[in-house]
Amino acid sequence: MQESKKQYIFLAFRFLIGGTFLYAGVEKILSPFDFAAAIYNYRLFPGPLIGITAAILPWVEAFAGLCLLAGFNTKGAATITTLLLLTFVGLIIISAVRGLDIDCGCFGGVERKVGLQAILEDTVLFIISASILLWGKSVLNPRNLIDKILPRRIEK
Amino acid sequence: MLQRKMFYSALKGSLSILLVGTVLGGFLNQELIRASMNGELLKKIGQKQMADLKYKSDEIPFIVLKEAKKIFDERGAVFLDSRSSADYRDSHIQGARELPLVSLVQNRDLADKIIPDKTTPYIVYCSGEGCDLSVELAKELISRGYFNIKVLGEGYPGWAEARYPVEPSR
Repeated sequence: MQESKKQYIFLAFRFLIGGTFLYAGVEKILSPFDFAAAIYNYRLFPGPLIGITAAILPWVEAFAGLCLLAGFNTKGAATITTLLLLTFVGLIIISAVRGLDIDCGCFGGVERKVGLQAILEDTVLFIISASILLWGKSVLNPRNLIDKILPRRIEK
Repeated sequence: MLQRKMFYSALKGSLSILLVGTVLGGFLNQELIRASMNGELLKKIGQKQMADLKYKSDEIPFIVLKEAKKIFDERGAVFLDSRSSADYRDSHIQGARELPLVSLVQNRDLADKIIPDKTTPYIVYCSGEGCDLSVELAKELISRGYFNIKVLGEGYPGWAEARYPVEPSR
């Protein structure tokens, strides 16, 4: 495949993962109590950890999503999204095996039950996110844009 | 060499995101963190989920934990476990019968086999306030002519936390 085509595929991947994480993060930032309740429903975490996770995780998700969308610190952001997605897949599998009939809490306002569909969707997102981390080439990022503008000025 | 450089760059980048998220989230949610540290958060979550569950239940009567234990001691009702078979096998309220909602939907005769008497008082439970299997099972049983059904909102976790009898015993 041509290098330029590959670049634009990874750009689409970046937008997909970035948009998903930004949306998921903002939804949870707006209602941290509901997110805490969703974490509580997994019945895996001790009380103090529930509040701390509900306070911090949405901001990490939103900031990682923003970085991917903007093309800034993409490798760092993809590291975060890949590790988070791996954790989410693991948690959903454990909960499905335990037969928990709960909402996964992935997106604040959208109901998404723990089950095979959520596992498959998150696995696909994990593969996409990992591919950005391992092979992603940055196009349409702030540095590229500056590089495109500045050299011409220097030539003059 | 290049790979090591990329690894450190990704590590540095991800740590910076974690740091920003921790500082911002921690600063803006101090009350939530404080409530989770002193145990208030879990209480509030339990209260809200119970209210939501009751709202969903279409006036199916609920029974509080202490009253359920009193009835249990007097052998005044049969307890029904609406969770999965795996959860039931792992541990359940002592003497409770296994009636997962999923199995009941798949096998419509199951209720007649497990609970043939429609006049007996039944107390249905599942995994606590965040789970609506007990309410759904109660609705299903009421629609089939069982009229003496109550839901234990606190479910198995509430019962076990109160150290009431479970089996296998823990």
